[in-house]
Amino acid sequence: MLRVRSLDVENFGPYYGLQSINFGGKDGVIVVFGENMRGKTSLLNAIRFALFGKILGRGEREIEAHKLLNLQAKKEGASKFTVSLRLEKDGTMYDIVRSCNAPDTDNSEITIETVLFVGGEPQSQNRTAAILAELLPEQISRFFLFDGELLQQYEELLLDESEAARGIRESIESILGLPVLIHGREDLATILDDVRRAETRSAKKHKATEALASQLEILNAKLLTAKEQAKQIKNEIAELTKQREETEDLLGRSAKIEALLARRNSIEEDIDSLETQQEELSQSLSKMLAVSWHWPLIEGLNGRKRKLTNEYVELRGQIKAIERESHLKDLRSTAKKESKCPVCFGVVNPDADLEFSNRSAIRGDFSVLQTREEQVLGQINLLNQLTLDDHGPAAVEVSRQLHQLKMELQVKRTDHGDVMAQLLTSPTKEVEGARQTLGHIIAAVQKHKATLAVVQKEINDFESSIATAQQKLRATGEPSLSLETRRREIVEGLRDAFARAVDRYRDELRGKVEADASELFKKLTTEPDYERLVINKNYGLQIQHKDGFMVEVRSSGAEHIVALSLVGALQANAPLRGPLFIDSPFGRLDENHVERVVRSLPDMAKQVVLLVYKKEMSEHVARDMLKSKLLSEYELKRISAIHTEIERFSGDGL
Amino acid sequence: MSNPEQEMLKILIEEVNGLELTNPELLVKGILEAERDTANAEDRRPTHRRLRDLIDEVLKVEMGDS
Repeated sequence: MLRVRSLDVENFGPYYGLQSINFGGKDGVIVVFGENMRGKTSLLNAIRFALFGKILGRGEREIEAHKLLNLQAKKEGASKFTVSLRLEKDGTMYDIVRSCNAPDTDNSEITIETVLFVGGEPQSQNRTAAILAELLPEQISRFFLFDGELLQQYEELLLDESEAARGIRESIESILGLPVLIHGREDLATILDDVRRAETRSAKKHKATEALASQLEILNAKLLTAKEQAKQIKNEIAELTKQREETEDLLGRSAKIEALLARRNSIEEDIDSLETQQEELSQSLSKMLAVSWHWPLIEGLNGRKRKLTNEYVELRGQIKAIERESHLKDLRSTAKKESKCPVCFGVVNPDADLEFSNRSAIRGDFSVLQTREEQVLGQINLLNQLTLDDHGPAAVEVSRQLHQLKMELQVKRTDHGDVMAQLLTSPTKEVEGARQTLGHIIAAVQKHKATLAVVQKEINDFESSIATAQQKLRATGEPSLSLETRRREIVEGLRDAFARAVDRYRDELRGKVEADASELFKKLTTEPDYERLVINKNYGLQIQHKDGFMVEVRSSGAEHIVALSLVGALQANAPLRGPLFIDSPFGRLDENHVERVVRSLPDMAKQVVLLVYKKEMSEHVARDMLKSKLLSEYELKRISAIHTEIERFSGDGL
Repeated sequence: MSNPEQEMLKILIEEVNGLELTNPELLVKGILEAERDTANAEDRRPTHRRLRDLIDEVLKVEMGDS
């Protein structure tokens, strides 16, 4: 069991000065929380740099190491960064210290130095490379240090002819230990050529077997030439395949540039829209806050307004009554004066008592009431000018919306920064002509494969002729040949046994990976109708519905769960058990799936390190789901854009 | 030996049955260990030497017996 015990980084990436993480020696999960651009991926890269001297950027492209020198340290004149990684395997401690020094501004003298201590003893440079290659071969590192965003790569395994699928399949067979058998088969085939020649040489020394030996000698020579030719063609195909992958990568990047530009435009539109909304909400909130001093007075002012309104209604009634009375008085006065009613023109007795009250007194009351009415109306208008609605709850809501918008804007701006960074490092002119090159490469590969098939047939024919000649040789009964013949028979038998074992072991592994991945998948998925996973020859996994059919179209979330199930199954079946470092593992999963995956992590590997942002997985999910299996929690704390510090905020279970 | 390596050993022992070796387990185990130790080595010659020595040991026993 390989375990990462600790990691120290000094002036590496965003980590200014010396920063450390202690992963401890116990089984369980360690969570490192860090928002975007705080340095989660840099931690994975620090481990990669220590182990392989390599740093990977987006799309798994290699980045020149010196570019990872911390910018704050560089500003202060530093030219070197160092990564120290402590590993434990079967009780032995391995301390790797790798540093990169770029003293010149033009980076012309970059040096990378590596020192390895095994059990405290320093190792020679030659031994260092060999020991590190054995500790964790780079080809299988993808299953120990992986980027959750790249889990969709495993979909390629469902495509039989895909070059990417071939590469991943080879990595899978490597982690499962198959190369031991494959190398055995190939090494024994090489030895077989030698022992066959030795047997033939021996046979040539005797008259009875001399002719057969000569025939065998010719056949062996032809076989060797054909094998050499096949090897050469295979190398050329491998080289062409590499070129094809590079060209396809280039074309893929071209398509990616278009996708990036579209994404950038979409993000910029979103940012504009969010900024407009933010402006509108800010203005609305400002207006509310400008009269916020009213809010505590609202109850009193509203009471006063109600009182004044009542008074106004009463005054209006009184004034109307006086106006009505005054009007009647005028009518009566006219009637008396003209002895005729001004309304119906009837005759009026001039002696009739038509006077009701003193007109000037009425006028006096009327004037007081009118003055008061004006005062009351003025006060009501004044109160109306004040906004007497209670905007407190509305302001709280607007403030919440504003906060939400700010968060969304922050995420969009971070995405925008990421996309721009990718655009700036993308090739543009390089893609020209790549399509034509790809066509030539594909044609050349097809031609080589056809030639290889012919040569392979020749090899089989020679093998068959050699076997017949060898039988004849044995039939001569020449006693002095018995040792060489027996040696040849044993080597031949071993080679064939290893060849059959490769096929048998591969089939058994597929069965085990399928069973383990299915078991894990059932634990992780929230869909009860999914029965199991079915494996193909590439180790690609398909979901089988309980009604027996295969689920052809899978959501990105389902794809993610299937890929995690495969990774867990590979860990369970690999000869080398190691840590599982996962960067952003839950990006495409809903809360229920996140909880299920987190709960199952301790079953996937003995040591798991999650590099997550809090929106992806909250602290309480980690604590509730993992309980005692949660060993410690770290936070990548922003000091500045070029300075992150690693802070442990919980966990003493290491 | 890890579980997967024991599984490989089991398969190989079954596969070499027809060779009528005196101690197939010892030979196959030796080859597997040599291959595991040099899994990442580009130069295969040291591995070939180890395998030849293992096969010679088997032959010595067989010839001695005969």
